[in-house]
Amino acid sequence: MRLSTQLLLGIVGITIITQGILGLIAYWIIADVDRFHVIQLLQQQAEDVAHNVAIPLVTGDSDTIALEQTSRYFSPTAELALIVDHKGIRGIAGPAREQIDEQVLIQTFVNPLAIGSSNAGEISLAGAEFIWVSVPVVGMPLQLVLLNRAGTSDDALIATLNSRLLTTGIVMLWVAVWVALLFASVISRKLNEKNTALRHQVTHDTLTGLPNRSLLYERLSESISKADATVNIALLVIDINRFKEINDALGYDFGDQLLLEIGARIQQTLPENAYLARLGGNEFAVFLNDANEQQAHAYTQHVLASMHEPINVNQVELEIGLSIGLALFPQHTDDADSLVRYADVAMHQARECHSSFMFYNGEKDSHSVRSLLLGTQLRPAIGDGQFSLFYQPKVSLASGEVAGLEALIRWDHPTLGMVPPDEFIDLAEQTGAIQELTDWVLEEALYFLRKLHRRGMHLGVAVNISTQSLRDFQLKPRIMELLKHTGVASRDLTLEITENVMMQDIAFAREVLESLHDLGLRISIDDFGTGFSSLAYLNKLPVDELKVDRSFVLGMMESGDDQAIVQSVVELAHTLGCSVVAEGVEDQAALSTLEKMNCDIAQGYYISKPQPADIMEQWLEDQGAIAAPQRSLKVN
Amino acid sequence: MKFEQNIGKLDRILRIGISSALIYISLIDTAFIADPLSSGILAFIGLANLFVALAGFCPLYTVTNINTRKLS
Repeated sequence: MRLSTQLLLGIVGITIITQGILGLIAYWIIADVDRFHVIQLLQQQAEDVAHNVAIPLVTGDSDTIALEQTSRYFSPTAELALIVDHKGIRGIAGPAREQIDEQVLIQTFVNPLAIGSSNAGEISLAGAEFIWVSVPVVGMPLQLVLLNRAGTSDDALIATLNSRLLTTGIVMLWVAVWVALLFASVISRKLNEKNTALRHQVTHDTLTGLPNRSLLYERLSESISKADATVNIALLVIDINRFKEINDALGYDFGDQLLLEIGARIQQTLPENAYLARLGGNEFAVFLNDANEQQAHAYTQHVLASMHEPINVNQVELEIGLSIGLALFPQHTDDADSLVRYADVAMHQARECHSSFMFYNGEKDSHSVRSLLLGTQLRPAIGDGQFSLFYQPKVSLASGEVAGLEALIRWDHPTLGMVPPDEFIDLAEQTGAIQELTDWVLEEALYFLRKLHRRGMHLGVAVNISTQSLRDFQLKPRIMELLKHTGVASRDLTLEITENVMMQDIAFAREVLESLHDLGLRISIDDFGTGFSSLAYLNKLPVDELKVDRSFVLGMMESGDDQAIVQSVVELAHTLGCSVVAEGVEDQAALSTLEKMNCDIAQGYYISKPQPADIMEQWLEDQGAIAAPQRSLKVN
Repeated sequence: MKFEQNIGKLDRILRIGISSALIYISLIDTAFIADPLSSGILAFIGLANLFVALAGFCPLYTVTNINTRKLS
């Protein structure tokens, strides 16, 4: 039942009950007062009659005539007047005398007569109710009795009372209904206002007043549920670049003002049927109803263009860059939750690629179900032995000898098969499993190396180290411990670090690498040529080896530029006192060219693809692993 | 204020019925209501209600934001 109906029924019900109770009380009071009043009046009249009837009685008038005359004068309303003594009725007068049997009157008033005393009461005679009073006649042994019909005035009273009660009842009911309606309407209006305010608070962002994430979901779900096959929906997640830096440098108040300004600018770009929401922090979302890929693209350009003008907040002018991620319905997904997530993922991809916008690409989605699955299974997989190390040999171009091995990790997933390192190394860094993974690789590689050493094959092994591992202060002590356990000399372990990783924080890299180099470990820069190495710093780093990126070696035979780069790297390395490893050697021609370039070491499929430990061990044995001439290399 | 009708069919029938009863007991068959003041008041309520029902517009409905015409 609605609140207004409940209120209405409540007020009407209370009114009817109150009215009934009040009516009854009023009736009782009035009826009682009336009876008392009638008796008093009759008593007074009786006393007057008794006083005045004595004289005519004494002067010898007939008792009845004397009574009739006196009572008509002093009590005109009396129904019956009697003068009685011990023997019987001496006189009788009044309109009711014909209706009442005299014997009954004698029995009632003569027999229990108490001469000389006053009395009053009610009596039922000849089917009617009477009020009677009896008083002594002054100076005579007689008693005067007066009777009046009871209820005569009560009937009129009840009739009036009934009418008024009914009228009052109807008026009260009428008023009560309207009061109830008014109350109900005011209360429900107030409640509605409160509900609306509360709903607004729950579904809107307090700073910008824009819809928040939950309202965005609601509207998206609504639109998606209504959408037919022809409808396209685009969702943009907009992130403000460097917002944290702005907040840190200029304060949170400034950041809030900036958010308001940016929100207002995006609002101005909104086409019809589009909603802007703030997802939280520095993220906004625009939801375009009925927009295909081209329209979404055009709108994105429009939003980006709206930020071209610098934003002025508190006299500070700021150039604002945005990273926008786009996801489309139904191309990418058909549910609201995924659409928001995909747009968010696309935004992160755009930010990572330093691009101003990007459409969702499932293959790059590191948050995809596969990635989530791999991320959670990574740590247990280390203990379950799902990882294995493959080894690829590096061969000295001058002597043809195997100069060392590079350890390469492989994940043989029980259901997904071989998972490429590119995919799980990032996940390991994100989940923090990289430390365990690095430890496992180092341990495996060093124990394998010890095995080879024991078999008389004195080789070195190179292990790839990620950015996070480099920042791990426990890396050095763990390496020391492993070297101690395995008895492998530190010079036989090479740590390969990619050029980009090293250049991200050159001062830190220098400090860490020097500390590791002090242990006697060899340091190699991997993928050299793809990053932006500062030559000024390169000679200050404790580097023993440069590995030319495979892309240059692969392209070397077709491109003169690539050949020049390889040549330059070889010369640079020699100038810095480092050895050079060329990766990606896939044919004899490349091998010969590198030899001519005076490159030190070659690595690639032409020599051997990465192989499991046992096969590599066999391969090394087949090679003699010692001083085999270059031309006698058995290539795979 | 626009005098747009706001009394529905059922509402109108109820109002006409009640008003007719009130007018009957207050003006036509006076035996039921003995008191002249009471019958005067009831006659006023009955007539006012009948007028509102026939017009199809209740001013109090506009104040309380009720519209029984829309409900029916």
